[in-house]
Amino acid sequence: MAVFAWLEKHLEEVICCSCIVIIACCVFLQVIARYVFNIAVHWTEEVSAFAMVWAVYMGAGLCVRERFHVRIMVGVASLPRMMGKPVIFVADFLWAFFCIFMIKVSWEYLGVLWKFTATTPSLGINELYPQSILLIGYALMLIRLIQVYVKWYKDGAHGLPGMLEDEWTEIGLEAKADGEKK
Amino acid sequence: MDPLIILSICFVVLTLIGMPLFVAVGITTALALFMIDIPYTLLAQTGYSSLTPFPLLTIPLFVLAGRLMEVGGMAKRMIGIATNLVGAYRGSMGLVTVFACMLFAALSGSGPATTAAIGSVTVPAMKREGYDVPFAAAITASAGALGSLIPPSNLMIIYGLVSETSIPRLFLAGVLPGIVVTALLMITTYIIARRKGYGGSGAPFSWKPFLRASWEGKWAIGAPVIILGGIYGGVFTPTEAASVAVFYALFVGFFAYGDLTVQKVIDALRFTALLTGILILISPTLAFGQLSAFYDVPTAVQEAITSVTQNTFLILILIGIFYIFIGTFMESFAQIILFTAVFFPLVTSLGVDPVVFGIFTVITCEIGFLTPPLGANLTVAARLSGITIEKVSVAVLPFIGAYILGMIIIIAFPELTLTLPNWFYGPSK
Repeated sequence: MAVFAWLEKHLEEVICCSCIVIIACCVFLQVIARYVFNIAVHWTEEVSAFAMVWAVYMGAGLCVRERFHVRIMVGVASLPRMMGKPVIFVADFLWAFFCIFMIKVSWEYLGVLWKFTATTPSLGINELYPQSILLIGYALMLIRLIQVYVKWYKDGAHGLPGMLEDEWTEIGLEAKADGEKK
Repeated sequence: MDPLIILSICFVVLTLIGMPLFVAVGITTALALFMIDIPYTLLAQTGYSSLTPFPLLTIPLFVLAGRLMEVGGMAKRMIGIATNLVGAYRGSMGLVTVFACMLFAALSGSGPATTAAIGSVTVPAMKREGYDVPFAAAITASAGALGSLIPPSNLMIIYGLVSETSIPRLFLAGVLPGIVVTALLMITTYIIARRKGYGGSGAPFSWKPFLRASWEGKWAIGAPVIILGGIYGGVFTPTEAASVAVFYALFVGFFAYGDLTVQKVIDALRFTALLTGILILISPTLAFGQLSAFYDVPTAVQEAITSVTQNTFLILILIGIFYIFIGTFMESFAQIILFTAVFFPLVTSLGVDPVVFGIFTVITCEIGFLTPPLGANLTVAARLSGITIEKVSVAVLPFIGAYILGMIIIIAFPELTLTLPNWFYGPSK
């Protein structure tokens, strides 16, 4: 159970960091192979490209939880608090909608890959496997987004979901009033 | 209504309500696909393929390398060298910050990362010497932006990918403009420091301590030598250079300086993971960039602009103003991907070298780093110094002036940018 809880917390982080390590090692290996062993290695380029895509999507999932995605909050923060919240709800709802949309589109795309099998040029793996990250990535993102909201609700629905109070303070105007309420 | 206007409105509204940029671009792209009846699977396809180009791997690798070098003690040594070199002049700590940022920029590809690496040491030092805190933060933010102009540079990699310009050529082209902008920033710092009467604290320049600091910092100085020397010696590609930089940083951090611990390496990896996640922005943006051709955007823009003026200099200034405006609220990767596709055909038809336009694009993005609401360097500098972004963004204005001057110099004297790459690789075709 502890393992599960740990994974729940660190799953994307572990996969993403491993992928970055794989990229670094593969590309370095390529240099070493060329100069030390005088052989040209081709599969490293392919493996590191897979790892890159996986790292990006896993990192994107991580960014959801950490609220690290690039977004412009000035517009929302300058609204009165009563209005700021619903606006951000709409934005997040559309975000979730986009995830669902991408899951559906990726599903169709992967279906095509399933039907017309394509293999990668140097390793000869079925393209379907590396590209399944599209589906996994957006599904994870959706789950993390829902999680952010659940946690926010459980914690008493203060401030903006998943957003740190001081971050809101930094850009917002009315944080003081709220602080006094607490 | 014109479909382009509908798309722009859609994008602006989605961005303003605080939606993550990649989702705003993604939904706009989906709408664009819907309006010209292209299957949505394009989004899934580019969702994978746009992230696989080999040069793109350079970005996370340089982020990781830069972070490892920062926590591994290299940033500290570079500040040491800078202190010995320019420490005795008026506003010395400010000058040290700019100079150290320039050195660090030669091993980091990102502006905010450079700000964080150097500023975390020099901002407290400037505070101790009684500098205005917003001024100290402004120096750090603006000098940190050099990280993107001086090679290696993440922004140049993106530009090179989108415009199919040689990345090593772009890197080399950034060197001289980088030095010019550094000089402009130092002059600005000096003038302000003089007016406010900040003293020079360090001893006057003398060879002995400088050489000692340089010797202590030899491993740190070795990093840019290996990275750039390797690329231009034809030993490895920029991507390979980035992986070599990672392992070099590990080696130096563990064995030469001994500042690195396993925990620090893991933290650096986690930091890189977060920044890698942001790259997801590239996939919908590239899909949208492909669509802009369907909507005849480049032709429309070309006609609109050439009807106003035919003068290359003026057109570049106009594009510059537009870029700076967009840069205030747009993430720089997205800005480069979206607008290079729009303006590139126009400027090349006017005879502007793709490399010059690349450097021009990068420097406008750097100004974007320094302007709110979305200015990554401002955010970092404000966090480091514990003041609000508003205060930094006022103090940073003179430095933005320096950057704008730098931009005009780049437009007016393309030779400045082209001399090094043309000398090294021969004139481009």
